[in-house]
Amino acid sequence: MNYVALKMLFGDRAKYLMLLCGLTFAVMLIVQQGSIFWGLMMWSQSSVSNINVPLWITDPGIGQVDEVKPIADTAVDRVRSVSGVEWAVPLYKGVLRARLSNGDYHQITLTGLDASTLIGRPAEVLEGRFEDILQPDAVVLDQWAVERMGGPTVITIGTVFELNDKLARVVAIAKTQKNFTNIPVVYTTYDRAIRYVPRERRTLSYVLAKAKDGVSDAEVTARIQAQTGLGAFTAQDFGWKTISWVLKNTGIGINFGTTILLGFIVGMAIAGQTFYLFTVENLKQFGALKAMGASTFTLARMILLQAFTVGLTGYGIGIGLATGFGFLSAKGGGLPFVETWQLLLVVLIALLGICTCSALISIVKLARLEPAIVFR
Amino acid sequence: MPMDDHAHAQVPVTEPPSTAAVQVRGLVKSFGSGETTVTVLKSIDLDVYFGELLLLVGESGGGKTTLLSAIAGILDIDAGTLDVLGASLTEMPPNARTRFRGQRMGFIFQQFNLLPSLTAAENVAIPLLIHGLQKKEALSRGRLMLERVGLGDRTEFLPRNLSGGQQQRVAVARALVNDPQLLVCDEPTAALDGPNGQKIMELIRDVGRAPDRCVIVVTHDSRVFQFGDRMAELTDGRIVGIHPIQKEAMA
Repeated sequence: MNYVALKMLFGDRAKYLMLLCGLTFAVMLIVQQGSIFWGLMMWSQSSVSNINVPLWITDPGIGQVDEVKPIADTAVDRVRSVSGVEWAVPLYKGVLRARLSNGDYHQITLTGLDASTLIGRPAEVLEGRFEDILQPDAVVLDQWAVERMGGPTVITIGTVFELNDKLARVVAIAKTQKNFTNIPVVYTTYDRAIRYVPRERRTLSYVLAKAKDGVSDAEVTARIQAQTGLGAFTAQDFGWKTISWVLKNTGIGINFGTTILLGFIVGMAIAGQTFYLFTVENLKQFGALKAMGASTFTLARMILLQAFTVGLTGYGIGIGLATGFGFLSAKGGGLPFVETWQLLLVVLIALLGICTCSALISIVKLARLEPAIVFR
Repeated sequence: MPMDDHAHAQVPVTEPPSTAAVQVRGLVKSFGSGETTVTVLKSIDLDVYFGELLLLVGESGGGKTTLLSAIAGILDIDAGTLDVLGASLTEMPPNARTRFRGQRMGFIFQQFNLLPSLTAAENVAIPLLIHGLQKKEALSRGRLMLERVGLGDRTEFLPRNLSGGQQQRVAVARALVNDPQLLVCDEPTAALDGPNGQKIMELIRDVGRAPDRCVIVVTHDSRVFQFGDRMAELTDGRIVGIHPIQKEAMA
């Protein structure tokens, strides 16, 4: 009877297309909004992922990676003294204003790396050599800094600008993941970063560290916390902590959640209503099938097959459209769009839920249907 | 004495009845509840025999269709017994009754009830598909059945591309494709013009009637009375008479 069910479904083209459009729209909306939301969350913790080290140590009261709470410079040595720590290096992170030669000012995030190891440097360099950062007054910009500060005609290798009235010379352009705030990132050495910023009692933003082989990150962070009183986080935990902070302190979760919920409700409403209409209009035919010996179970199976067929078709098309949108609009990382398999799985489960609920409304109707209706 | 027996005693059937395919005794069916209860069938007794075509006739609202639905096992009854093809429908659980219908009964409806998106052959194959026959085999048998009803050249037509008479032929083929022992027809000619109605009744008589099968037709179309062997007349929920049909007189 699967064959009959599918022919019934495809035969009523208007309703089939309406169902398909409703479910496709719902899937596309949920996937698109979910991917943008997740893309934004990835951006919010991009400072963690761009630095790409296993352990982050800082003030225990820190809320998120961009909310710097300076700690004493001695923290580096204190962390190094904890057993199980293979290495520990300082990291400066702060916001400054850059003044270009044309007089424009731009807010930048200054990142100071340990000069001897350059731990925390971006993995990919687009132009120049990152190691040239060791030259006098050298800085490395990320590609977003180039874009925000006037484009490649204004900012290129060799461009000179001022940071707090001190000279900075671009020696390389690195590739990084865009930041939630979209403030350009300027890399330099830790010592030079300290010279760029106004004098403060505490200048160390983070200690970056790695556990020795054979010692778990969780164990080392626990030891660091216990022995130094500092907050120690694995990169993953710090990323989640940042995402959690963003969700709690901005309305972004509610905004996207509402849109995603609307997508679910719209899909549910269209699918449920259309399916119900489809069943009601074919009630005599279903009654005839019942009279001819089709059990309620058989009819329920037919309805579920119809629902899942149109649902999975809509799922495929919806994901295709959302992915196409993401591919076109987020090309080059300009827009946040991260489509994960987890999101697709959740959407699939939601869609199967929509289809099941829609089908159940019809199945209840059919279960109560007296086959005698065919003789009326 | 049951009314059916009484009728038999007074009017012998044209051919001696063999085994009863359908035995109805004291059948009562009501609709509604409380003060709005309407008793549609009031202690019906009826026998229908293998090899015969019985017409159920009578005024509108007399209970013909309700009786047919009860005999077909698609309507629960309030009282009485209902033995169909050697099985007690009243004692049969709903699921078993559904299977029983599918295996041993065929249905022809007033409005044909063909599935509009299925071809004629696919529509005819439905009873076979319900019982798990492979699609290829079911369609093959469906096409053969369509040839028997004179629609061998219309097997791949959708119902909307067939005339009313042709659609009812498809419905007849569908009713007979699983070789049922009881063929139940509800006003099979009501949606057709006179000549087409005659042709359908000829088809039901010629193709549908068999020694091991009985046919029950609900109709109010006097032009098709000639095709029946006996006629049971219902008025106000009671059988008021069962008569053999005098073919010569009709002709």
